[in-house]
Amino acid sequence: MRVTFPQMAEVQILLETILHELGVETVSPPPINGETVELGVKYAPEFICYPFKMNLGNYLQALQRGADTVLMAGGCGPCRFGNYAEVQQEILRGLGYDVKFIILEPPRAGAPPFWRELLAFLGWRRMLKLPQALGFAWKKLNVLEEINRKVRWLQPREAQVGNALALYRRYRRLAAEASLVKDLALVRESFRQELAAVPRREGYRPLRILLAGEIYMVLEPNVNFHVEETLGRMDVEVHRAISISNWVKENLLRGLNRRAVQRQALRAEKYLRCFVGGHGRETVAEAVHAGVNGYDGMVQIMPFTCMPELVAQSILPEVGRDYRLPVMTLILDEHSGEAGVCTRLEAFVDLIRRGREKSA
Amino acid sequence: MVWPKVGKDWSKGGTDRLRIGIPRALLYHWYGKAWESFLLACGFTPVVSPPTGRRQVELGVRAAQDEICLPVKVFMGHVRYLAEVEKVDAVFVPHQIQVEKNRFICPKFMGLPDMVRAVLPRGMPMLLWLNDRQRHLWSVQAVDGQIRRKLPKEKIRRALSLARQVASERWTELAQAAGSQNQGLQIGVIAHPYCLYDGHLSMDLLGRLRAADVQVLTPEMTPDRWLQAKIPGLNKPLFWTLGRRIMAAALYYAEQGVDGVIHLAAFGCGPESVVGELVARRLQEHGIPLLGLNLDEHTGEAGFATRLEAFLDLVTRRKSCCG
Repeated sequence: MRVTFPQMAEVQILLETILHELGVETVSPPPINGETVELGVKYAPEFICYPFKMNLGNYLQALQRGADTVLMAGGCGPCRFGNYAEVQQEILRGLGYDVKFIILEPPRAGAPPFWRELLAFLGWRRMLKLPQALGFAWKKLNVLEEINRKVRWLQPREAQVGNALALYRRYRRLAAEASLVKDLALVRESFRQELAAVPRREGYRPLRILLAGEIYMVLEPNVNFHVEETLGRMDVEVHRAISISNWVKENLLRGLNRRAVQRQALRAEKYLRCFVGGHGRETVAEAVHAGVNGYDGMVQIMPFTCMPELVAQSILPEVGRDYRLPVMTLILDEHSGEAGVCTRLEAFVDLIRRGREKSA
Repeated sequence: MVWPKVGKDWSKGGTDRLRIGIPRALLYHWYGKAWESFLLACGFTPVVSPPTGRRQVELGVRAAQDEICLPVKVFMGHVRYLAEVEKVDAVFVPHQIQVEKNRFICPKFMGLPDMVRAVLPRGMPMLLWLNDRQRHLWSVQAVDGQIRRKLPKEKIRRALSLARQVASERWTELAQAAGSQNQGLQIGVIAHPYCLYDGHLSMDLLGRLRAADVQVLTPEMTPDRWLQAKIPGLNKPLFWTLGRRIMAAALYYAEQGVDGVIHLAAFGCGPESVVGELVARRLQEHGIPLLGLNLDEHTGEAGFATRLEAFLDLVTRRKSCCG
């Protein structure tokens, strides 16, 4: 059994860590590239959202490299993500691949419960090792996200351009390769020291922009044209509340985080009264958060035809008006070009910067 | 909360009855008649916007976000028409999250009132009709709090039971066979009700088919037995009410041995992109020709008619030579 999974930011490192700890062989798809896009677009339904197409491209590339099992999450609506695996499965079988899907469905979806699926996949021996593997992967994820967060803070402030990104690439690799908890702690410690040693422009206050939107498009740098790095290069401090760890906390450990979920709902309530699937309500809540905390702007990223984000997009102008918060929406799919996205981001940042200079 | 209240002291009745606008869009095509009679029985004057025309489309396209699907844009157009042309006192906005247990309509339906508020003139009140997990269709809880607080419960109950009756009449009407009953072509149409029954959006597809002497099957004619049955090949039930109906209808058509299926969908419709793919694969297994038609505000009538004609020709020829 050679297992593959979709590419999405830190998910690859996370799943590889877990599966290796359990002794399952994995075949990671290559990072999203032109071929992924081409394959995905060719075989996916025309009007499906972009993440679906990328997933499909990932699977096809991994299947060509010898994978035979796909690990994927499910859902119970109303967002299309909940039906991804079902359709992807039919498409791959239609193309003649003998592929097994392991779909981890939430309990309410009306499918066999996920633990039964997991048990059939892992067997009892590995199942017993699962908690330990999960714990280690969770620690690794936290280190990876800390690296990302701190580099985003450093990038606009560094005295010499390029230090922060070099640091990011090196430590991300080190963290990904760490195979012991002890190593992880070492990586974290030495990252913190090196970060503190990078020379900075003193007293510089960069623009603060909040990134929100559909989780896949926000997190996967290869489909959003490295939006965080690009903004960082424009001397902007990028914040985002969306991350894999937050998703796990809010969706998988909902019982432990009821407070956080309620807080989100409360923030958005004035503008959007009910859950709309995906990250629609979270986007509106983030906009309110950005407005209240005096961010300089917000960028919403979503794939073309994303339903929950479209609802949020319709409401964001109102939030923006109330809090005087500039909001830009980037709708991306296979037809988006890097130059176009960069130009729009530059124009947006220029606009905000000019506004700030005028009011100062 | 900035939801404006419905003005005037309307609970006292009298000649000065409130005019409530009902947009003739989205699920109006299923429940509209019932909402009308409900509001009438409650003592309002329901004002239904005229059938979709160029004017509503234009108003809606201007007000809504670019990427939203046409039916929602048209809904916004009807709302604006009611507010700006008809000058109604309040707009009736259905907020239908679930009309069946554990099945959603679409995320855009869930955010509908909030999206409508963004296009309404400031201060124009809305009367909601909320259906979700707890508030079932035609239950007292579905009625807007402003009505529930001011009218006696008994009156609302009576109005609701009247509405339920009208709704079931509408269902029988929709479920009756449309088109000619002769032994000509039999074509199944799969589409959401707000695409299919809106003559302007669907370019009068049903009328065109009838004029071509075709016997038409619609999702509303699918027997309940089929709607409840498990869909073969899927691990779990589909979680969209309309998507599930379409899926079941397609399987029913295949079983009935229709000569062809037409899939009418709005451009950018989320659920349809998934369901359409599943349907296409199953119809291919049965060897039934499928025509996919996508609608948006740029759809031209000539192109639409040509594609439809070509498809009907193809199906006719296929039938005559393959039996």
